[in-house]
Amino acid sequence: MKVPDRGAITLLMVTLLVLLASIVGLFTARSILSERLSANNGVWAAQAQQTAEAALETALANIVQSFSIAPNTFWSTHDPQQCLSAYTGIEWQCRSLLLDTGWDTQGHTLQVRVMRDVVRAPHVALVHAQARHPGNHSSGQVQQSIYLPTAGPIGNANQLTPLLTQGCVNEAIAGSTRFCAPGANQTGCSGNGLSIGTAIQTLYAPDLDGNGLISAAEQQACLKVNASSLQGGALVTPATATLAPNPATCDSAVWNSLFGQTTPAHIHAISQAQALKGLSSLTQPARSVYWIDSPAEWSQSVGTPSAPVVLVFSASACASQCPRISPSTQIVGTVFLDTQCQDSRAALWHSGSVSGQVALPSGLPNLQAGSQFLWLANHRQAFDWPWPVNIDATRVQRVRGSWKSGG
Amino acid sequence: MSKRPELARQAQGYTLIEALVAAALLGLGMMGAITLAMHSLQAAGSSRQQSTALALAQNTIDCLRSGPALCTDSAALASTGQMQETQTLSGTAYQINSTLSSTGLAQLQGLQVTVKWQPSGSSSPHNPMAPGSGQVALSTRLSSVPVFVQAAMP
Repeated sequence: MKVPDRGAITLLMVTLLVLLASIVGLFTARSILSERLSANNGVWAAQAQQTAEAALETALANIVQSFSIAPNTFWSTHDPQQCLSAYTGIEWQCRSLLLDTGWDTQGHTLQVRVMRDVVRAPHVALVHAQARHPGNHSSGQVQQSIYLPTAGPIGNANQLTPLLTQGCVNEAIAGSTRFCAPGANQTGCSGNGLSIGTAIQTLYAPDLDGNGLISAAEQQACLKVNASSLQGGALVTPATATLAPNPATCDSAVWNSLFGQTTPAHIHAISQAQALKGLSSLTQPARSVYWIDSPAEWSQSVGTPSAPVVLVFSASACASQCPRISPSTQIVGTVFLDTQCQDSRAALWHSGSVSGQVALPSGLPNLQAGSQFLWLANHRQAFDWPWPVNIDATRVQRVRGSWKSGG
Repeated sequence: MSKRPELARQAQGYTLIEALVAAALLGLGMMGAITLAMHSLQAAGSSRQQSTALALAQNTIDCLRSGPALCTDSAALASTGQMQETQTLSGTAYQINSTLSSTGLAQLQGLQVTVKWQPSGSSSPHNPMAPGSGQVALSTRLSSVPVFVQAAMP
């Protein structure tokens, strides 16, 4: 090698070394820059997440306040646009919730939606909150289910009978009606004739001799139904004298035995929500709760053994006389007549064919020929919504384990 | 014949100049690379501290959300609406300030958690309140809507 070439080679080597060091340095700097961006994104994401959680908590507090002020108006609207993609079935009622703006959302836009299934769980709402920051494109989502005081647990059913009254019952034409009491396996008497349960039960029978006890004769005088109509089913009255239902202060013993803590206002509101959603006997899922204010005869067959319904003929519907159910109509589920403890409002009533239970806080005089009362064990399914044991259903409460973030 | 030693001398002079140029070039290059490495290290440390501060802020919120009684100095938070705590992690002191504020709703409180620290390379790394300190702030809200807890069966 010539001597002058040595310097050039040294220079070249140094230049290459510096170039190599620069490339390594640049890649390191780029990696660090990515890490910084990632750290910043982490902070923005956390801020969005916490803002979404703040929106959720604010929504919950607002819901508590709404239910303490006007419990029946919270679900008076439905906006399909507010339903998340997983909750677009006809049974989902959705609405948005506008939050107060008196707090620092750190530039995030908020959206809170509340959804519930008006058929399977009208007492449980899913609250979904979302926070988005248009500047840094961060977003956070969080959701929580809550129990709402829109219904209550039904309690233990202890009146296993297709007809529960608070007064006396008699047929307009002896032997012209049909009662099918619970069979040995609680499935009803169809086919096997083993009606060993109660065909008619009343919570009140007059103590005619005033001895404080309800004798067999007094029972027969009160529940005058031909044996052929009962098909082996038993008649049950209280063993001792009870107070006659007072129309002025009509108590809710029959209602409570049937619906437990679910009030008429609850049933009315859920019925309205199902109607608002367009549910009917033809939709899937079918409508399950009917609150009827009209005095017109009911002629629509509703309910199936796997999806029974509840029909409540309100005090308005029964203002003069409760609407009859037309003879060819089949109801599968529960029928309640709000007679306001007045026998006259239930006089000459026709039940159509009810598979389940009919209940009323009065007697049922002159029951029309062709009325059928058939026991169905799961008749309360339409309003037996799942509640945890021992819950105080009058409060808004979070469903344990339902909190979710992201998604 | 007499020209050869003179050429050799000239060549030695060139080699010295080239070596000096190469050394200067190498020195400049290395200085740049070291400066870049120092900045990178500082930036990496700062990112790590920011991530640590974020985790501390989130932990504090989670703790207060799940059960304030379990959090450090929660009594002060309940009485004065403020809670302060300092944690030293990997040689950096992080000061965590939590502040509760009232809202228009009785069942709802605002919560702001701020974590401050002194970035890497600072002259006073143990004083999070010194000028130029880093900060992460998270704001959220807490409501007292209860969770249903199954009552124990007898």
